Amino acid sequence: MACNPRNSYPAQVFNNENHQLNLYGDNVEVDYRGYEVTVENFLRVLTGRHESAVPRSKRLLSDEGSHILLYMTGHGGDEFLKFQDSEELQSHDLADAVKQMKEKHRFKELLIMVDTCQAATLFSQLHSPGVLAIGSSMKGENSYSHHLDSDIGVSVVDRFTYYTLAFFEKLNMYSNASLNSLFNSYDRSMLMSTAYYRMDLYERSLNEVPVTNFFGSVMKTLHTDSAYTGFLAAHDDETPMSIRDNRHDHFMSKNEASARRSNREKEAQIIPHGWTEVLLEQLEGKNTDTVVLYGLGSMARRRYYSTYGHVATLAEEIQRGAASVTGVEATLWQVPETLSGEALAKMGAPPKRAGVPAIAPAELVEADGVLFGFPTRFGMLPAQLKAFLDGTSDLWCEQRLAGKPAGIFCSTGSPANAGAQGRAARAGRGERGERRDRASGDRRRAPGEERRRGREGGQGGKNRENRRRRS
Amino acid sequence: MAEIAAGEASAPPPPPAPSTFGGRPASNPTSTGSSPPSRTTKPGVKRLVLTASVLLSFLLGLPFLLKSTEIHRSPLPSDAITALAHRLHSNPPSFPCGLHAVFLRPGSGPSDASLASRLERAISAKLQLLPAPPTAGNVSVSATVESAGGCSSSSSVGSRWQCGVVTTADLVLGDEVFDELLHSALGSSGGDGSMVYTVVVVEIDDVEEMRVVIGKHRHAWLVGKVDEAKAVSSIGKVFVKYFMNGGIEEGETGIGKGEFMPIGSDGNVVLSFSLLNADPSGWMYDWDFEKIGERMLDPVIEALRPIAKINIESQVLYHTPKSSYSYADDKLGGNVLSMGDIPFFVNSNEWHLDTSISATGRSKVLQFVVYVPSAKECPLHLQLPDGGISKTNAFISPMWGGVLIWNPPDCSPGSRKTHGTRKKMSSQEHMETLEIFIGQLRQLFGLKPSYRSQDMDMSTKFVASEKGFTEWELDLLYRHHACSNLLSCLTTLESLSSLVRSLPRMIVMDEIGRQVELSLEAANLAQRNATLGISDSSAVSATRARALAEDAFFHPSIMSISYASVEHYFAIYMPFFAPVSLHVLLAAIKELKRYKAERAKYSAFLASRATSS
Repeated sequence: MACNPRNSYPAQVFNNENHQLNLYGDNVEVDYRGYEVTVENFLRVLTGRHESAVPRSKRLLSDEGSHILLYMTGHGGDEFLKFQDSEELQSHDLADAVKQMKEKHRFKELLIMVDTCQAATLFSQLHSPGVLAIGSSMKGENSYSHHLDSDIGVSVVDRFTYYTLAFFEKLNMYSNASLNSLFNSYDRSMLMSTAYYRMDLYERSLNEVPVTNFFGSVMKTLHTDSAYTGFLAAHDDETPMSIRDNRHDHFMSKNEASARRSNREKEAQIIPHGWTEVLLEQLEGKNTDTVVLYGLGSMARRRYYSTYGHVATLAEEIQRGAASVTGVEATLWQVPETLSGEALAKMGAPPKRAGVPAIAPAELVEADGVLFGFPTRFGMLPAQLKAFLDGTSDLWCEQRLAGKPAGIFCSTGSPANAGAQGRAARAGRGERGERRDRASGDRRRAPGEERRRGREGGQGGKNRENRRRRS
Repeated sequence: MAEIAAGEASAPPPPPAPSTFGGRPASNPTSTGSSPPSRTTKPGVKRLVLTASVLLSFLLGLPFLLKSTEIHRSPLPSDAITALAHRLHSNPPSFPCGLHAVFLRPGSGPSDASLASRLERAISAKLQLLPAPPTAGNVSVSATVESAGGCSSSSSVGSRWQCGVVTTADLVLGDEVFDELLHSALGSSGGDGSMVYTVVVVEIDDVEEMRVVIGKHRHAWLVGKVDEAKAVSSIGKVFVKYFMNGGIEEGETGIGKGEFMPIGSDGNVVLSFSLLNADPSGWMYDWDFEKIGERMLDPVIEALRPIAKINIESQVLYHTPKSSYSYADDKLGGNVLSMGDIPFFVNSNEWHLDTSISATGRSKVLQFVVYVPSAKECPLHLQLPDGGISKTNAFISPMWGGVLIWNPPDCSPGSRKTHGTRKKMSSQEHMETLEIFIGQLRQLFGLKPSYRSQDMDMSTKFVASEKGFTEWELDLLYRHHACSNLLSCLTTLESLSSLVRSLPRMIVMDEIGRQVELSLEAANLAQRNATLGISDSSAVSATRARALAEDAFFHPSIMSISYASVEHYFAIYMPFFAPVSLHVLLAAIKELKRYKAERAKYSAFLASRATSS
């Protein structure tokens, strides 16, 4: 959903029309998306029957001490949940999968939360011990959305999910709120349906179970009293003494590198352009090691095309800023002009800056990072730069520019074509508006199947949050 | 064809009594028009044969259809699984082992066999009183008394104790050397692989205090002036407490006490060592894990090979803040994390630890993390619940791994150097962290990180092994793993066989059948080895049996959702065949009826002719 092209807020999912809380935060891992979200894959994740090539991140690596949370929301009905509007997860499929998980000791405790219409029917077939289930509505009841987000045009959150989130927003890391307090926080008049929980399969009293057993990443830990003393002594006779000497020179250069790096980092903060900083960080993360070890200076290039000189001025400023950082050498280039001299004269263009050489595509390879600057012409990239970029196809074929940090800067709104650009911008907005309407169905209707899994929990249940979401 | 059959079918009359009237026109080519409703010629069988042959061809095709839509189910040896279950339940795997007590006496006292057998009986009686460990079977006890005058043994000596190789005088060489001497005297562990533990009592008159040293092989020795009764009781205690139970007391968690085994179900473990620089702007540490760590861990991996195939990986990560908060404590000199904060320490969002490529689907990854706090937060200490500071600064999370907070040597609360420097852990520091990791690994496997000296009522010393686990500890691990793996293999096979039974239309591939058979074979082998007391090969087979059983159970072709019921089968094939075959069947029936009716008419005609003539 977050990455759906019809989402007018790319990579964001909100729980509220105030757009305060982006549910699709920094640390959300999506392991299954789009066409991969099928009932079969879901059951494979639960039962652990994967092809051998399926990576670990896509598996539920739980063990007999794990506490697992299974959160499902979407469209449902009597004993089923819709997947992608095309398939259904039947309640007995779920019960079968849970039974096999239990037989293979894939969980210690499993909390199933279902937010669909008639949610309580989905777990009616379960009969494996250690399972606790809660659904947003009883049989014959509907589960309603919380409110309509008029900006996006859809209802972004269901009532049950909304109040669950609201409950957890109030907690902090150290809280020992019990599951009972969570379950009691659901108010029938707020939900407009009856939250039903089934606990006949669950042994512990809900008062004693902290919510952190299933939500959040809390590990059971044991202090290590002592090292295995004597282990070293048993090895003593073979302690290596020469390791450091071998690579002494190497370390020296690395130390120099880090000294330089730290200088640079400090100075980077003075640079006014935020994105320059980003670029420099990129350079640093990726290139400094190689750069220093091979004895080259770090080098960033700026390349621009400018007719009237605005972009050239910008480029010079950027060069000045970047060059003030130790270890960064910034070079200005311009792309070759394609217009004839006569045409330029008619446009009243000032002469090109002298002393800025024109660049050939092959020279891009020498740079550690690239910034492209260009004006807009009728709302677009000028043909000169386009021609230059097209000329890099040889490099692209060999992937020689892959991994180089790059950025752009541009100037726009030059008086000669301001009107045209304004129109273009309005047209663009109109189009977006239309898209949003089409997206409206998607937001609410696509059943966001969301799962957080506790994995490798130890008995205490270290629940790593892995949300899977339909996009 | 159906049309024709229907048309024809409407024509013939219901089976008429010969006397009834009612002209039936045209349907009968041989009817004689207005004459009585009887026929004068024998009805032809051509149409009957034709429809019957069409029906027959359909019927002949039926076996082909059934055959071609048959579900392939490789037969699972459910009888053998039940037999294995029966054997394991009636006779849980137990490893017989031996206890051999050797009394080294300084003087030339009497050394007759009667003394030896008396001691043997005393020790046996003592062992009866102590609680029996779960995985050990029969214990055969033997005793040897050796003195300058000679050497005599009780009847059944289990170990190959060579008299005269070790004397009381050798004690001065130090415990490690004495340990090796004893090992050579015992003739490096019996060739038959069964376990005989030896406790040597070295009697020295001039030492008042008795002390116990437990070696890194399968023996321990008691030194001091000991009377017989005390020696016998100490031997029993050492044997049961350490050699059988690994020093885990009742009520403690540990091996055999409900602890889970941190081993992947395919028998693989990846030890992933990570050096985390919380904030590299202060300093950045690097290590030489390939050179030091892997070399030092090689013997450990080798020692654990019977129970797990271990791979080692290492990585250095930067920008990995922890997720709990510390507070500055001037009294303790540094920043302090209380044990209550530790459950939140691991920051699974920022620590991208599980990047292993060698760990496949079901293998286990144990994380060992060296956390280097930022320069601002250094030194960072763990505070124990009693207010003291942890000696190791380390903790484990069962089934996950261990974390060690490592404060760099040049960190002091006063100096707040902020310029980042790239440093390397010295090999000494590195090895100290490894020592703690070995302790954590032992803890994860359910043993004690190390033994404290005052565990028993007399001073006890433990000789450490360069393998990280002493031989008697490894025996314990092997025994335990063999038993738990055998049981787990059995439950897996049982649930697989019940699953297959419950889904009659599930495809069972040949591969699954083969895996089950191999798993059973390995399980039987493990059980046989267990009864012989060969713990390591039993552990190997049990691990293999479990891995194969899991492979079979988790075979990707088993997916309950893709198996249709019988109703589903009919729903699929009915549309293909029902419309045609139904009509063919009806036509044949009707044709048969018609033929019967016609024949009845003809026979009535014959009868009437007979009566009239």
